[in-house]
Amino acid sequence: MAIKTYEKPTIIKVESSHSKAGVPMPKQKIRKKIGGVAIDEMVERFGSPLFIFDEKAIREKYRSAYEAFSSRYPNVQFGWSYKTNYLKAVCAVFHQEGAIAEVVSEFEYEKARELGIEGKDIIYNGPYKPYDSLVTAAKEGAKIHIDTFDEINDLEKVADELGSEIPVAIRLNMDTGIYPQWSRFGFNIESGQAMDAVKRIKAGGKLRLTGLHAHIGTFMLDANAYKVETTKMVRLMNEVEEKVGFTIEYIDVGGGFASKNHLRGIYQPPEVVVPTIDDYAEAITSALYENIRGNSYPKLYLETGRHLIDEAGYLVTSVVASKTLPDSRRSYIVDAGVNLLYTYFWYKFNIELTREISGISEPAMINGPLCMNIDVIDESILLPRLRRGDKLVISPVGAYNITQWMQFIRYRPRVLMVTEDGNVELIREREELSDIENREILPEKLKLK
Amino acid sequence: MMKSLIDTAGLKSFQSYTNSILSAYAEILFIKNKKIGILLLIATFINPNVAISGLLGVVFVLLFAAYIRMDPEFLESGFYIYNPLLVGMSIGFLFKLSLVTVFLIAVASVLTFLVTIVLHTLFSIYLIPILSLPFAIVSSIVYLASLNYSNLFIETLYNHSGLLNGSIYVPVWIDSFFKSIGTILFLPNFWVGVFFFIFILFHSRIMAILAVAGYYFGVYIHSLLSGSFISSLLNPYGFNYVLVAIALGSIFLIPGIRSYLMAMLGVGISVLLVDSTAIFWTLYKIPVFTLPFNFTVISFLFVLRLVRYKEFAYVIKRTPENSLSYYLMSLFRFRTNEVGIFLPFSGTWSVYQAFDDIWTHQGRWRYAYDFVIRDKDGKSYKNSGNFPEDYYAFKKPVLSPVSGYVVEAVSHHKDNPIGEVDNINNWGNYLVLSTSGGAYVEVSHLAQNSLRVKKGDYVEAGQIVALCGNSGYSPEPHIHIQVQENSYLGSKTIPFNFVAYLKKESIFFYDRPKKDEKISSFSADKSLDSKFSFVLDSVYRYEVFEDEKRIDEFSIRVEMDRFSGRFFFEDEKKNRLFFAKDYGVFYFYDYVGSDSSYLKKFFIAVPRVPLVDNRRVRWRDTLTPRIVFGWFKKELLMFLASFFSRRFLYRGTWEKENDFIKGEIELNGRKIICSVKIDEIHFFDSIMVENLIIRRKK
Repeated sequence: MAIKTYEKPTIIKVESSHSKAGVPMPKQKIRKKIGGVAIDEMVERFGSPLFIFDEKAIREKYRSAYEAFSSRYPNVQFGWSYKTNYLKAVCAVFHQEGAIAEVVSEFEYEKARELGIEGKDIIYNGPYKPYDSLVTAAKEGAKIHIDTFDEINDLEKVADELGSEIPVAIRLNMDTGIYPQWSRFGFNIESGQAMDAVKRIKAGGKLRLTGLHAHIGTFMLDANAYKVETTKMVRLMNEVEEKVGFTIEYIDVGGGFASKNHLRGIYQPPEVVVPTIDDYAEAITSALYENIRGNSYPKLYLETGRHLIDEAGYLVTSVVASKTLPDSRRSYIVDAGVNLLYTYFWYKFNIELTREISGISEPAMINGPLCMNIDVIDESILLPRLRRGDKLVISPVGAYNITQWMQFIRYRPRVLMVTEDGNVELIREREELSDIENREILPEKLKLK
Repeated sequence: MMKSLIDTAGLKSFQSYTNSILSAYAEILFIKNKKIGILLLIATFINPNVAISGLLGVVFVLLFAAYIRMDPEFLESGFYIYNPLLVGMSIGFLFKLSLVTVFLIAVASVLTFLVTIVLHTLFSIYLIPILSLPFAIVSSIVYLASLNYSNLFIETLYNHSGLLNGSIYVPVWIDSFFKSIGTILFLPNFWVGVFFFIFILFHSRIMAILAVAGYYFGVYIHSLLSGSFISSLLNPYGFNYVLVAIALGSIFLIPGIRSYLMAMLGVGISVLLVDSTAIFWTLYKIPVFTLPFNFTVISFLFVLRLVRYKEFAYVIKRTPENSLSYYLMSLFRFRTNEVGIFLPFSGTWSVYQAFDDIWTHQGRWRYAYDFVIRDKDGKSYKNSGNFPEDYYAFKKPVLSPVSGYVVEAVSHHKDNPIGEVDNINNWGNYLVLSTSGGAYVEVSHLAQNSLRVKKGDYVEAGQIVALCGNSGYSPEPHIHIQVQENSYLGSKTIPFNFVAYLKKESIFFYDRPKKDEKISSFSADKSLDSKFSFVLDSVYRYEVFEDEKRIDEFSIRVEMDRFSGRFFFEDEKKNRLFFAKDYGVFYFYDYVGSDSSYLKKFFIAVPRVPLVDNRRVRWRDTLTPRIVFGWFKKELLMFLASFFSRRFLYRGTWEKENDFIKGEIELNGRKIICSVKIDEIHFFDSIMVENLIIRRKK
């Protein structure tokens, strides 16, 4: 029998099972399976930590979102926002479901092309598009969304170079009654800048305006903001068609729909505060119907990323050590840190165990393996006493983490996808030294003997 | 400058007058061809007395029309002139030309013109033609009156010109037929009849066959009744049989076995009419003229119109063959015999009940559709399904299925909880919309207070009108739609179809989905839509390649018909390809012109373009021999198609992905392969039909 390590006793206040005023005790949150496959098994096979995506969940989410819009409006197209998660397997699932690609840099553009997406099925957004990438995008017929007057100049040059007119869209910003107003992208509607841009494009005679695009913010908890956005966009469309003579073929209302994640600083759970996809769809489509003249419906593009992928992604991590902090809280050190969880900055994640553990829950803190003070995944959580090797399932982590994670002092872990038919596919291998070093060049004289 | 303007205007009206005169000549033989009009005009000069009198009749009418400042465009078709022309000729047939005769012609032709307009106005209420009834009436009046006018010289007492009074022997049964044909233009002459018959044969084989069949059938009936074959042949009014047969069998009814039988029935009736009127009329020394023909055909058309006879030729084309082709394409491509409406929703829905279904679509209300939304497990709800909100269909937009007026609108009934139904207000909240065709569309079980329109509003098809609800006798939220005869609630329903819908990758046009089928609506992709929006007078140039060798080039221009407002492409040789664009579909529907025009290839290559975005879609379409073939083969097959229409329809499949459309038309044992590339900016970039490629020249 192993001898237990001695720990200095402490006294902490723990909520007993007989809670005050009949308020039930928080139950242990348990998740044993993802997509029908046991998490423990996957960890055993592939190691820890692990990012796991649930293909079925992605497809179901996409379909319900598409259905929410298509059953309300006859002309809908989703564009998969690459920056939210550009793992090939994830993008491929969305493309199979019918989404086109929405990219914001030449890197993402190349990624989409490499995956087999044709230029015409790529929306090219972003405040900086290098000249060469504009030439490629224009040649390949991508939907280029202009962000600045400088870009209009660039594109006119491209048009001269190619000797043909280029269809383009402009990005807009506006006051939709929410804070912060994303005014640094595109052309402002209220100040008349947007109309100036349209007239500038018309005067140039080398570009043809075919679309309007806006993106009013991220994790939008107010569906009504989209109604304001759409209304302003359609009114601008009417004005452009009437006064300038361009035919606006599509309206891209962007993304920003919230996922069922718990924002820090918001007390109520996401089930209460986050609008449903039907709420967003209703807000947007009703504004379209109310403001479009006649029955010539422009195509509605949506670039929602987070809403579609966040809840399908999990990070499984294991307890590698534990200790008691001076304030009597329990601290668990796990093998995944905030370098893998960029979104920890905004979210209080849902953290679950993979098995029931008996014993009372006590206040605890979850720390990552980084040798840094900020590596805190959860500062205050009630957990039963965990042992080394116990697993924690952190979710939703499908959005942004895979694209913004950082190789800091550790190798980034494997990523799995549990497929619809219950198979487990490795979709990204664990990094190794050569991945990190093969771009490095050590000058000859610095080479160590 | 001013002068030249006046000159061109004068020239134009002179031209339109000439056109109308020539049309009137051809129209007498139901031929719509000005060239044949010229030949007929020349032919009448065999009897200059008749020819000049006829022309005089026309001239007086034109003068009168100018005097009352009638718009020359009215006269252009020859429609108003045709009767005065016949009256003029009939006077010339009876009286020798003299100053007095000229006066008589002037008076009679203007009277005919007046009667024509009066009768036409009256008859047009019932949408039936007046044929040569004004002529029959006025000529009878003139002949009656002339009994008192001893100052006129009876033509028959003078020498006829001996022209073409050839002396070769022709059996009387042949001779009498051609003479009867000649008599239609007051030239009872064998050779004239032969000429006229050749014109008819050249113009339309169907008409020629009907002329022969009608004549001999009439003679046969007459001989059966009278007992003498020879006297039946010699009956001077036999031409009535010819006219009845052609009019009923091919002009006013769509050529086909049913119409041919109808024509023979008409001929039988006209035999009675010829003999009975002859007794009275001869008493007063008046020829029977075309009275039996008019009486028979007008009566038939009145009744057939009333019962909405299916084969009624609502659109009469230049030849019966063309009318048939147009009719067959309208029927098989656009199901014009039914009301077509648009899907009342957006997205993918399932048919919950179709026509004649097991629950409520029965009896008077058998022609109705119910739609719900189902998920991939076939459920129409999420969660428990205990609340209307759980149902996917609930509060989804209902789009207008037609362009028309809101006739009824009710929205105050509540949405029932699941498990309860409102037995008293069966229809719940509903809308009744009028259609341009006179039927009404009813959409019901709408959500309480969800109506976006009110009574009296005009709505465009595809516009949002309400939200789907669960009011009335509704077990779960769904859209109920029906087409009914009248505007009141619960009126008798009539069959209808949906103009276009998608089932997986297939587009169905003017069709009906079956129960439990999942179908989606589509609306025009704006970018594709703008590629098929045309500015009048814009010109597109094309080069033609055969086996990659450049053989020709041509240009087409976008034009609009000033009467009907219909759009068409016209090439340098004035061939016309008519097109239209309705709610998401661009299509060709008619071609007028020569078989050698490349415009015809456009029609074959892609008769219809659904303006859906880049996804892959497939659809079927139907063409007639008139479009697929040319010259002799076309004529022969169209003639045969009048007997066996289905066998001579050619079905094809087209597939569109991105800007590329390829098609295959199945002929008997062979396939025509064609393809089209849509241009990046506008219209077609290239068109390929077999080894012929037409490329846009930029």
